[in-house]
Amino acid sequence: MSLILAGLSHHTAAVELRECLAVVDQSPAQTLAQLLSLGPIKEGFYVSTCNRVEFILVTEPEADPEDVSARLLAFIARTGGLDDKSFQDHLYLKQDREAVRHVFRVASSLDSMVVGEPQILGQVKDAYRQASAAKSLGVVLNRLMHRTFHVAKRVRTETGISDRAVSIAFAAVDLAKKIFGLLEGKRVLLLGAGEMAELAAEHLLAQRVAGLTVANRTLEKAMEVAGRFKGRAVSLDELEVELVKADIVITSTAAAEPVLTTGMVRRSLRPRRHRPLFLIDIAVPRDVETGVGRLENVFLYDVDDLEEVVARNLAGRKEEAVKAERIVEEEAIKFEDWLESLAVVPTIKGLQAKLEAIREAELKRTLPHLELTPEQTLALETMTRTMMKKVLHDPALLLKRNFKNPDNRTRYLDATQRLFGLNGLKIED
Amino acid sequence: MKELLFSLAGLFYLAGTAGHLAFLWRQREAAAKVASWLMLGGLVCHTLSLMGDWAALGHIPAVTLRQALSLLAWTLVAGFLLLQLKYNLRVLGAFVSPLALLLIILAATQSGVEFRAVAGFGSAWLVLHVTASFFGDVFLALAAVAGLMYLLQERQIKSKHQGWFYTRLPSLKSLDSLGRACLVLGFALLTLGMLSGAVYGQFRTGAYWRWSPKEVWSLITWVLYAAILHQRLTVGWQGRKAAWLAIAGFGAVIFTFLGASFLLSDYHDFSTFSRAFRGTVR
Repeated sequence: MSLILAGLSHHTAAVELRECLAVVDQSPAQTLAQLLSLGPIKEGFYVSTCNRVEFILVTEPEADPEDVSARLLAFIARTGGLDDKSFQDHLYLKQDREAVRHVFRVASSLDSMVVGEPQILGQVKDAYRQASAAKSLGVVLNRLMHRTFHVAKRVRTETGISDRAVSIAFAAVDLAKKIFGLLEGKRVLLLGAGEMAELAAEHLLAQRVAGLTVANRTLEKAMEVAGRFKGRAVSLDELEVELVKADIVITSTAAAEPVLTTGMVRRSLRPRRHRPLFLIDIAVPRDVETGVGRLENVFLYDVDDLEEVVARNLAGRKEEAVKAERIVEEEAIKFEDWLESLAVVPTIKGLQAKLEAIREAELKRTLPHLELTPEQTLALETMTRTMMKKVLHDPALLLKRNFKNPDNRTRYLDATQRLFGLNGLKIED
Repeated sequence: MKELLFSLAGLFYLAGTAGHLAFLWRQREAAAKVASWLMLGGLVCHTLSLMGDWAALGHIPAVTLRQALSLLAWTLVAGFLLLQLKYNLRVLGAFVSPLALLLIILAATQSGVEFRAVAGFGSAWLVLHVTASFFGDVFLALAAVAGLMYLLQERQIKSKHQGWFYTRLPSLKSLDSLGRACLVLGFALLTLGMLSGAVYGQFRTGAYWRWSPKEVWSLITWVLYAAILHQRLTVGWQGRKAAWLAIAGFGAVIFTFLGASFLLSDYHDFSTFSRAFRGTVR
């Protein structure tokens, strides 16, 4: 039995190629059914997002992994409606521990475009639910998926991989939370307009701030932006009044001179009753005088500051990723141990089946020649069964005991199969 | 028995401190939970030990420096755990539990001379005076700790170089509200402690107020905190200035608690308590 994984991701394929696979117009259940009918395959699973497609298979015990892999690759090419040869350069193929590690890394967002982004785990969970409903999962993949969720959780809680903001807008929200605690009920003033400023405003609105006020040089433009965010439009003349009400100010005007001077902000402090004020200056050249940042209870971040925060956080994520890789490696080894213990079971079962077959055959041959009472027949049957069990006892113990050392275990398994000629036997489960 | 409980309380505080520091370092919620329970375990042992003292002495064990430090440690832990109920600020434990540990160790190093019960020492006014004053001091200490945490966090944000403390400390807003709540509570208890002390003084010495150094310094501290509270509540001061004031105010508290006892001779200090009361017994 082998675990085979094939797929492509943003690391190996351009977006055009990924699109070919992502937009498959059939239900997940159909795809899974096709996957299982590819050959001697017991279990199948796939996950498809805009950044990756991954197929995982568990083969029958006697299947040839290479043959199954080739069929899987061809299947992926067919599904994408693509030419085999050029396409296969973009695919990767992984087996057993490599495959396990890859699944763990993907779900823990270590393989993502933005390392640490949280969406991927949800996507894998959705795919798991679909496969579960389509009954394409068995003992191995069910266990693998549960371990995957466990690993992703460990990575999230034991490393700081996803708790740092890696975009300017998120960094601003993060800072606002460190100043105000909950952002619920805080007032946001948007000065000027622009993509980045509006993105930051959007993120703040998602934190349920009380409301958005938009001030602009022209009231018309202010009204347009305010309309989009269900906010209130004011003119620049009302700036000082609005400054008293606001908790968070995002500035992004095209003005050449600072719009918010130190004097203006200082004058607002008393009427504000010293409430903290967070100024996010996204404009270049800057809209807020640098002196403002030195005022008490006023926190000023310009776009360079935020970019620096983001750069540091990204570096921090890389450090955390090292920890996360260690967790993944640990768990992959544990899973492989479990997987290997499964291989012991078929061998013992095979041995058992062989002895049982011999016992039954011999009883069938001998019993008719003896004239025994039912009690005597029963005694003979019990005796032979006990003999068989006693013969099996030590080998079974040895095979089970040794699986901690993979090399020895493999050697013993091999020897057992040769000694008893088990290779030719059809072993069930 | 009560000695054993006292040592056990110290060990619990030690383990609780380790847990809280581990939480600060590794940021595992579980560590802080365990640490809080350890502190509670320590508090239970400590309470039993203090009750033993109280029963043996016949009055509240706050007469010698050893007793006062031990009681202060107890009050600090109790105050911290009470705050935990309302403000789920687990990181506070990393600052408070080492302090409690330090106090109980200091108490253990003081010689434990015991005094017989003295007439009037069992007065309920004294119990109220001691409890209110100690809890008052503790909440003012917590206000100062909150102030310190505020300054650390504010520095992280203003310097635009968010480092080690940035992720570990809570928001400025919650630190400021914590400081404010502790200040209000501490000031109210301090006032209650001084008033009940005056009433008790009238019973014991015939005078409400004797202008002893400790009394004078308490008054100075009280006026200082009244001013801080005024700035905070009516003028609306918050943040950095308020944090500094909470720390400065607590400096006055420490001076009143220790300095006025050691540097300025006084009937109210821990060493003359014993002489005075031995005198009474004789």
